[in-house]
Amino acid sequence: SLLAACGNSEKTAEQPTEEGQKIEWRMTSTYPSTLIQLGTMGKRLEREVNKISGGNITLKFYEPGVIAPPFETFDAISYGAIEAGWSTPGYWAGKDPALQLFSSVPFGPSAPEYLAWLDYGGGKQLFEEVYHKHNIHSIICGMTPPEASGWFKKEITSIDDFKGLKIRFFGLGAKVLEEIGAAPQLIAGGEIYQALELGTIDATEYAMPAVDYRMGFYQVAKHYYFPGWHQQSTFFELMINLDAWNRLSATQQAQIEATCAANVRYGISEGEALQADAMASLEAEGVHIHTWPPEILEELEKAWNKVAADLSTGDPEFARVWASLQSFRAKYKAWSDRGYLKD
Amino acid sequence: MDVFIEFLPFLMFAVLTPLLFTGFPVAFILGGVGLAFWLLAVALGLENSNSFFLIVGRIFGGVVNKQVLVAIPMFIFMGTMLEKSGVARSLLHTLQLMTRRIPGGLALSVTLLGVILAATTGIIGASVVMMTLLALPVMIERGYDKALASGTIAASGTLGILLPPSIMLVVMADLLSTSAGGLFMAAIGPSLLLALLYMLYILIRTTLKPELAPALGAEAAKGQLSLSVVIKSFLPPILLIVAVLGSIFGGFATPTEASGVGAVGALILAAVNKKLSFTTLKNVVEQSALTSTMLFGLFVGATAFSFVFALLGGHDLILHLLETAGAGPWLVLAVLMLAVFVLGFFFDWIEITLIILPVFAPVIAQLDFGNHLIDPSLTLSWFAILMAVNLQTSFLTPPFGFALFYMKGAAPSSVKLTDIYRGIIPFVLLQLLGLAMLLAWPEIALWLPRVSG
Amino acid sequence: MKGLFSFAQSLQRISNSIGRFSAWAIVLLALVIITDVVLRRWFVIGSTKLQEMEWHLHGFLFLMCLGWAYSKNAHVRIELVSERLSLRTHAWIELIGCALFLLPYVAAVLWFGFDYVSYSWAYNEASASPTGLPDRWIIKSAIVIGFAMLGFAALARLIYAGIYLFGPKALAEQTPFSHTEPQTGES
Ligand code: NA
Ligand code: NA
Repeated sequence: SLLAACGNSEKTAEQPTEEGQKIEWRMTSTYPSTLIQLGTMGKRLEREVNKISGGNITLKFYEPGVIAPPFETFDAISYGAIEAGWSTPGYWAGKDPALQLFSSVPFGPSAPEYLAWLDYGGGKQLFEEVYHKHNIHSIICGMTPPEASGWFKKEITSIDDFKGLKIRFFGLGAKVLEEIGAAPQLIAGGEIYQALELGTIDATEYAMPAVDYRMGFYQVAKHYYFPGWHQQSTFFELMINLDAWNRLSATQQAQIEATCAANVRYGISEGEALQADAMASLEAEGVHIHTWPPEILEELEKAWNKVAADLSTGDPEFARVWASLQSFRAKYKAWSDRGYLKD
Repeated sequence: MDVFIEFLPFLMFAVLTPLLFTGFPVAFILGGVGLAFWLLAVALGLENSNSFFLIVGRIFGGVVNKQVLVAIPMFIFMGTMLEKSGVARSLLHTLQLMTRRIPGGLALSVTLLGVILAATTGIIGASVVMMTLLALPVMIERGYDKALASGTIAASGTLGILLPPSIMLVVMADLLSTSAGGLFMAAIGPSLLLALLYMLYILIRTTLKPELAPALGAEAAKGQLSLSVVIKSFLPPILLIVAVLGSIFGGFATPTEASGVGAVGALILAAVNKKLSFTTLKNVVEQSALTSTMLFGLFVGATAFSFVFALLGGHDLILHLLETAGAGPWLVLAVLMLAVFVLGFFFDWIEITLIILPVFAPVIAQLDFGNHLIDPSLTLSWFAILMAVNLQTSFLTPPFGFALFYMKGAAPSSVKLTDIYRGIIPFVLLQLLGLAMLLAWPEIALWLPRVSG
Repeated sequence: MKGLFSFAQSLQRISNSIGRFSAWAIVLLALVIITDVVLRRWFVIGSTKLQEMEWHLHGFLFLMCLGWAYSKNAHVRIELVSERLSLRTHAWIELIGCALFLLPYVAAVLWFGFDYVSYSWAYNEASASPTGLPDRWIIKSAIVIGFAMLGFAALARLIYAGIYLFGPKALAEQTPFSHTEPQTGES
């Protein structure tokens, strides 16, 4: 099967565990367990992997900071201080820039296309190559639908409105905004709401409508933009120390992979189902829900292509992954343009 | 042996507590005890020999790489500069002149200052240290009772974590999946209630026992209070407060950045007052660096202790004890409140919220208090505020009240920890009174969010 | 014994001068914040790098001062019981405390910290934000250097305590244990 063919490409000196030998691992999370989707998918993984393995595998979920501060997860797993982590590859841009491309890509693919690249377009091999260098085995283990573009205090009617816009933004999207003359800001999570309210920043990106609604940003900014060009779909991951992974029996590895595959599927179905109610509630609160005009999206995409080219020049690994994704998408277009109804 | 292993986390406290009283620095005992128990766990085969690696990550990710903590050295610098340049002294002196007919006038003014600072920042370390630097030396010089003076400062200094903006409320909102804006609204009433309780207490206490807060002697007071004195001593600090608050509310700066505005403002004030020599600057720089190192030193030691406590399963042990307590909304609420209060003796607020909230959030969301709440959809907010007041109290409860440590680190050496412990007890009781009132009358918290929709 | 004493003095001198020098980061921090606020408000320049520089300076400040603060007796102590103890007992507590708690903790942080910094150096770690600062290993090294300075101060302290307890009287009187020290590093 496909599952058996991947994952265990290299042989190590480690002895696999006996069939049936129990493992109990700590899994530190970068999101609190109660956070819609981002955290709850991790809790689902904890629950389901225990059931599927008949109690043979325990991944004990730890809230962010209890054992490891969120951004320390990578080093801790790589070093073997803890065995596992729940996160998204985009967190590790500073460790290996290529990993950002396995999280979500500006103007990137939506869920089916992204998964197609990962499973059948060479994405997974690249993903494991990058991670194995760092002594980590990571498995794509969750997925979420598009995010919103964010909350703006004033309406944006042309690309020039971005010039000098103080916007709280993170990741590759921030780089794109910088390119078109906006001023991306790093505001601590706890201070976003107030900064937006008082006009210290003009706008902020956050998450999908179901999460944004709870944060209450609609009370201080009334313009909510779609689509989320910076994040069309997002992968989440189960990171495992490579030595610990290699010690697992083939059955245990298959059980973890099967749980993750199911987790991806539930991430999408739940994510797609959740947003409509939140959108209705937001509209009831008087939020103006906007769609980006095509010419603004074009400008943003142009800026992104320049950013991607720059990043590729700076980092060969990033270039390799970017080329793979691009060539897959170019080929895929022949299918997607014709296969799906357009409205 | 199994029982020994299971209770290992509690043994950590049994070992820690007597060691603290040796007088060796608290930060180093915390780090050393954490390491010792980790080594024990490795020797017993409970822990892998790599996991202490995370201590370095916790120091970096939990203390260094934290944007909001930047406010602490800045507010400390501002406080030290105001103290050394004499601005604070002259303000508090004038305040005392103005309030000389009111018993405990200076303590009342300090409480008000605490409320103002609380509205500007959510970092309690910063406001406690700053108020200690500004007000404590003056209060002692004026013959105030050390216990009353330190209790007033510690309690009003910790209001900052309750009164918005508050990092604590944001974290709680996150963990409870509720709106931070809503919690901010709900926290305003209780914060003001607590400030009022402090002031009433000070008023009653000093009326009954005037020697705790001696009024200015007739000669010292005579003829000094002219309009020009008032303006001269009030103008500089008012300008500074306007700059700090104005930079926040004018949308120039986040509360964290406003601390930097305050620091530079204090520097400019000292220069304008012609108090800024190189020696003064060097003194202020060194003193404030030492004070903030004292504070972060505590973080650096405590992170090892709480890390090993979590590794050894301490959190599970606490949850296990709580879950055996039973059901029923009032019982659940009572048990949780009691647990938070008791945990507060030893842990800091972030630790407690991380132990309790993720596990109990679903339970709390289901609690039904009948018609005790006018709007039952606000149950979660009510609970969050009850917990927030309780957590604020944890800063004040000995032996491990971080506010008390911050204060000790910044206080003149004539103030002993004994004075601080003694002074804080009535204020802890006031906190409990406030908590009881919130339990009895939820509207204290919920009225504002209810009417503002 | 005399040699040991001057060795302790040199350790302390190194850690103190690094602390005193690094203390000035606090002024730099205030200036960076003001620059950021002004640039954002009036010139609208993206300031992720400045914002990251802020916590870099805050971290650098307290890490580099850890040892100096110990020598200046600025770390919080609970002296409820200990204030009633004799000077000799104080020296014993400091000797045992350094040997059993502080120095092992410093050693553990240095041991793992070295690997921690090597990782960062090996993959040329940068900010997680593409608009942020490069070269994370620099600020991460401050943990190792800062703890090394704390180790220097602790070792000096241990030697002083030893000399006070077991050394010649003339030398013992020059150690900080021969009198009650002021707290909070008042100069
Ligand atoms: Na506050
Ligand atoms: Na406490």
